[in-house]
Amino acid sequence: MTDRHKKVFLEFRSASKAFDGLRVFEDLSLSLKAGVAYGLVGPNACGKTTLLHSAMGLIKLDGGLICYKGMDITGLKPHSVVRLGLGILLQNVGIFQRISVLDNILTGLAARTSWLTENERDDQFQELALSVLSKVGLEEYATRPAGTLVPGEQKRLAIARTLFAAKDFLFDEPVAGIDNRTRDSLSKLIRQLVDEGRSILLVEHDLDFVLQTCDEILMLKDGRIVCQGPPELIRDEQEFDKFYSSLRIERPLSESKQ
Amino acid sequence: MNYILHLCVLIGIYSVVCHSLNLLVGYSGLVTLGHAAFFGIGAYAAALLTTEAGFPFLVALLSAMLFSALISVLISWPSVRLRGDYFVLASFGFQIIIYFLMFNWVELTGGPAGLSSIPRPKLLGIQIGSLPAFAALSIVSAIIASGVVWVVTERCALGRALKAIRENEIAAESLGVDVVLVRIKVFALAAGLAGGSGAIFAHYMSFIDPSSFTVNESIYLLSIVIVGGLGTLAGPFVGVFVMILFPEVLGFLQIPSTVAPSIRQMIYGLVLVALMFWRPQGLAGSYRLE
Amino acid sequence: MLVAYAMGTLTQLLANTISTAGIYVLTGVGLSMIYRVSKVFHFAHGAIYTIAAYVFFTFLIWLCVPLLVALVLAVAVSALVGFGLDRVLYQPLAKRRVSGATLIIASLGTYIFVENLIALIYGSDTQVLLPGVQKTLVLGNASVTVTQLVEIGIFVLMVISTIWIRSKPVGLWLRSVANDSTMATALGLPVTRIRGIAFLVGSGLAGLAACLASLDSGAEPHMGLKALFVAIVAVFVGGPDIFLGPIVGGIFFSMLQVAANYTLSSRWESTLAFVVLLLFMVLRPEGILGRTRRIEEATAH
Repeated sequence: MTDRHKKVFLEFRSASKAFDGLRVFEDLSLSLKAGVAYGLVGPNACGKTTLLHSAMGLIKLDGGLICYKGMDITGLKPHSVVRLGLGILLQNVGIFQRISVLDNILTGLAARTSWLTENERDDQFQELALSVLSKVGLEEYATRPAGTLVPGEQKRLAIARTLFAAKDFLFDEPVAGIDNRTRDSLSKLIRQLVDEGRSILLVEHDLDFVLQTCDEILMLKDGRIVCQGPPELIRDEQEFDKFYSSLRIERPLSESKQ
Repeated sequence: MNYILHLCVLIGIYSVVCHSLNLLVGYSGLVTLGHAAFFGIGAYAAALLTTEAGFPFLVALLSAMLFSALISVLISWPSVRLRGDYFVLASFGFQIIIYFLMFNWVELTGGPAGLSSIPRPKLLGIQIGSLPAFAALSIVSAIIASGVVWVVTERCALGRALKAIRENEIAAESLGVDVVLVRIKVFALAAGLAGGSGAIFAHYMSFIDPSSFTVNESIYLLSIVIVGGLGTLAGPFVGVFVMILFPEVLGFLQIPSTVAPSIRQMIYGLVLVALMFWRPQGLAGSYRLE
Repeated sequence: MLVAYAMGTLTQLLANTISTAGIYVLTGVGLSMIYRVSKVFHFAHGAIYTIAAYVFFTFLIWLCVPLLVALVLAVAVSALVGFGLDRVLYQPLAKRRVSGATLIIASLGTYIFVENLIALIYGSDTQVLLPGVQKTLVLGNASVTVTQLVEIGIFVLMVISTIWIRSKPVGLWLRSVANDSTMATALGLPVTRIRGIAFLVGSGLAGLAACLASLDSGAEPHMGLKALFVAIVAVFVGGPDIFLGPIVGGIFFSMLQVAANYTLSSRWESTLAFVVLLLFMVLRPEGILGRTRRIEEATAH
């Protein structure tokens, strides 16, 4: 492992959240280092997505603190969190269908500037947007309305959009229902981002993807982190092994569900 | 001929108001029942400035627009965060309150008697007194208003943000778009335009009273925008043409004037319902309410 | 002496409050049932209100039908029209997967149509249903009209029966669908039938309120809108509970209104309704009885 900076990427301190009386997690504390790709796994509805969403400010915690790179982001609205550098790829793709592919990317411009009118024909931004598009292999579609892309390409566009808008990323089930080729290129992309020094936290059910892509894996169960470690070591953890095997059996069902 | 010119003036004035309402309903997805209130605020503000304070028309016009925009911030700031139904309600409530103030704050607005003897405007040295002059002013302002709407929605970051929000609000927010702030800005722009139009209206009619700015008027404006078409530049123009010329058609059919307003409204109601079934984006529109 | 006077005024205020609350609670519970169950912002509730009053008027004055019969007929008509409106308008639109805003507009269009149809047929002047001054009874130092007594009686009846119904199967059904209709379907509840009940009963209640109110103040084409204002305030200010919300909201609002009438003047009524509504929306959107909602619920569209 290359020498990692001691900087912290994302921190949860004593986070608690309950929905209508159903306690999701309580007094949960987590500290994630910078420049690392983390994979968060666990049984359904155990709070993984809630954690991501609360970091972005889409959900309000009942108690506790969230810090991004040492800055307190608890309770900030999503657009403020993005402007600080932390972006999210949401599970429902949510690309803007009637807007062109390039303009979809440029919406992330809002995260970089705060003018009412900025010159969007500005060459610098155009170049940057195009380079992001080429990272996901969509440059030739730049002027097409986003709705004309096939689902796999739409997903890539969503990824590109998030890349343009922020520096560090949260991915909510990024490989759900996508083809193998996109899946592999996403895995490569994440490694690329980590090499550039970015920090990533992803939530996934596809354990093979997580084992292949992430530097460190955390398992959330019953509101607690029950095991944590790099791929080669975590397979030995009993909790993880149990979980992994149970999913292997379920997998055919969950794939057709998408 | 004079009557046609009069219609031109009305078409121009209503085009401006409806373009501004289209910004809210068609481009931002904010259904509001309070737009007549801003029309009225602009009318009263400008009229008071020219009659009581003796300001020249241009100053009164711009002040009325600014004032209207500022008031809009007061109502938009708390209400744009609310869910759709609540927002409609809040706008409804705002309309009722403003009408109440117009009707009852007699010292300021003249109450039900309204304001009269509003002078003919003098713009850049030209006295606008005759009907053709007013028609020209009105049409020019309609063109300017649609130009402003075009620039904001097609050439401006605000427009891109609006389209994004319209498609997927949460995705837009997660990309850094401050949805609440965008909405407040659009609201202010829409209120300003409506206020300006109200100012012109006041100086054309030379007499205004609260009955032109009621809830029914707000509903009427909403109908125009919906019928004409949401989210396009052509929509408000189409809507205004149809809705202003339609009563003339009724008049042509020689329906007695006591009964005509009710029949007209009944037809509006039916048309609204029918549109929701068969063409919810309106005649010349491209956006279905989300 | 002063105490007696104060007691008298208090009794009067109390009588006024409870009688007006009676009408508000009726219309409010009606609207609440419909809105909470179908999620449609039912502007046309005002149309049903007006229809009921005019049907009542037609039977009572034009056709000289006895009062109670006319009342029952008017309530039945309003219940059926409300039910029909849902079947003919809202449900077909919902099948086309239109947005809530589209339904609001359709509802608004219906209201406009009905309000003007009535103005066309009956004219815009107020129609009086009970000519002459009503008999008043004296209770302590307060004077109360017969209609007010009936309204007070209705109010008490409403509160008791709503609280009673709330825990019965029908009440639970309504509350379940209002809370989460997908869940309700999953649990095997007959959601379409429940929705029908909501519209039927809700519209009928509005009809009853309209008839009582028209006995007091006559019938005019805009009465539905005014009644709708208050019903809206009662529903939203009271809280998310389908039954208790409008009761609390209705009482709260009529208290405010009587106090305003007493200290200011009656022209403040509609405005007061909306100032209160706006204040609640900003400061306490969950209403008097509500709990704070999730942030996504409050901001989602």
